[in-house]
Amino acid sequence: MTGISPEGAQTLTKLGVSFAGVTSRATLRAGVAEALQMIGRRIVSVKGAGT
Amino acid sequence: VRIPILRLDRILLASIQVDLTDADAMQFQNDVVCQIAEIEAMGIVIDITTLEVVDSFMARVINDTASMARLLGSEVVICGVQPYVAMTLVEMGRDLIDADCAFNLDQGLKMLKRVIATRGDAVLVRGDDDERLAPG
Repeated sequence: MTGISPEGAQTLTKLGVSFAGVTSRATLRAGVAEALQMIGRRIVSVKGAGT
Repeated sequence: VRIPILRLDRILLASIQVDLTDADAMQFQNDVVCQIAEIEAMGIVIDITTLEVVDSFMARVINDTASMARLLGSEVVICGVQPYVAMTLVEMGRDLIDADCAFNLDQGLKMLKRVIATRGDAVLVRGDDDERLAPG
């Protein structure tokens, strides 16, 4: 789960909603990195290609 | 009283050194959450070494702050829980403090860095995709 605002986090916590089984990350970028690690993969640049 | 929240790279450090009123505690909670979101903190250490008394409200605020921090994608470590504080908290009820605890600030920071190093986005901090953030 990514992209929760500070206000959203406060509201969810005060409502008592549990996200025990969910990994949360600040940004989509961080979330994708986490998801890639979960499946044991990563994105690397191809050597000698592009700039 | 406003509790200063210090920034160490992508880690936040908040040391509560005076007894807080309920309003101060809520202000602290709000400050922590906003700071975490602002710098996209990987983790936060809350040091309560100098707190001799933690009532059920303060315990709840700390616990809620930890939950909020986790929702924002940050790891949380509480450090410096005094012996009598620990006794009171357990007597008042289990799970009052649900976050990871460390003995002192030093161990707290080490614990936090260890946890952060295992995260999938640890590589993003250094900006390269070959080496992970070294623990400790």
